[in-house]
Amino acid sequence: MRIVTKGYILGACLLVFFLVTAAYAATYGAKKRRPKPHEYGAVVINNFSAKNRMRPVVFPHWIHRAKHTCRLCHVDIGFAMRAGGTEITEDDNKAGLYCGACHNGTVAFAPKETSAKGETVENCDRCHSYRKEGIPFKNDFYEFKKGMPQGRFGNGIDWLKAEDEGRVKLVDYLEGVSIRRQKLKNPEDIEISAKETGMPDIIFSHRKHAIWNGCELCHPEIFGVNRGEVKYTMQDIFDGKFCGACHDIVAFPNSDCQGCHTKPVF
Amino acid sequence: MNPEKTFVGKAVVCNGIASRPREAVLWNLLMSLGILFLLLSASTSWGEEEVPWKDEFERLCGYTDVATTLDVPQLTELITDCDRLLERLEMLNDPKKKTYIFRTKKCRDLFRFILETKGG
Repeated sequence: MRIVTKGYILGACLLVFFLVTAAYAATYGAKKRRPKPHEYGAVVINNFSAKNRMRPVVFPHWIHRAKHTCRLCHVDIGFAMRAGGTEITEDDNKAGLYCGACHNGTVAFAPKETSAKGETVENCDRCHSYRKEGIPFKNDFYEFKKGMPQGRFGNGIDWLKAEDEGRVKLVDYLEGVSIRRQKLKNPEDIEISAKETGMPDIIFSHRKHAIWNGCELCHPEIFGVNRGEVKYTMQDIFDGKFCGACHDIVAFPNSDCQGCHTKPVF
Repeated sequence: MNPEKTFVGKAVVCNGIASRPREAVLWNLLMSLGILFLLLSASTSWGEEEVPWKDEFERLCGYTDVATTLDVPQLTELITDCDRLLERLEMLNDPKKKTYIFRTKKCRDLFRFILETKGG
């Protein structure tokens, strides 16, 4: 009888625990799993893959950003800034658009290639790799990371420093796709006051952002406001707006406060 | 029939030398002028429309990195030209048109944004 009572009490406790956990999650949201360094920035693209009985594409941002500027892909090639926003089809790729602008066997591997032995090699799995083990990727993130300056968050790589030190050389031009632009006039840096007391102000490097993104990647789609006209908060940024369109997704995450709040207090 | 004056079509042969009646000369002159006018107008219109769309795209979007240095009339003209290019792109039968529409809109929107910041 005592065992039965204990069982009821334990069951009731577990029920209360699950209800409280569910209520907390509903109120404050479930905590997201922090991605592993090689996963940070990866985008799953599944507009049409599953419908066509293919695995969704896992796009590894790290290897692409290690070689190209953001503008090359998000302006010149035309990838939207939101995952799934481009609605890429296989026909698009075959026509040399989107992934097919580079993955054509000339710049990067093609969906189908002929090996040195004359055999046909299908590379579908190298992109359509969602939840598939044992794919022989050519580039290993952790090998690549060994030669890079360490960052504290995200990929664990300090990409700014990596470029400053010449460890990565970002290509900003793709023949037949990019255009010859007039030379960028360096925009001035912007000082943004922090709203939290004691938090250092932000020194926004307009120059660095413009070199990687051009002007048209951010204005007006992400920042469509004149300076100071619209107040945005850290909550907006956490929600993926303004700086949050890149930071916490591909660029260093918002948990790296000192990445932006850089003005010396004293 | 006068042996010195024979008619060959509308031309009159006088002493072996061909001379035309005044109407015929005028008619030919008008025809020549008409053809000349048609040729000139056709070449002018080709000159306007046959600027390849990709060249026009490259010209317009080539200004994005220096857009902040442009004045209000220049930005206004660029926006108008982008809109005109978008109309041309919409009519294309080319799979690449969707990316060029996307890119042209990005350029136009930047010019418009900078124009607004300049109070234009």
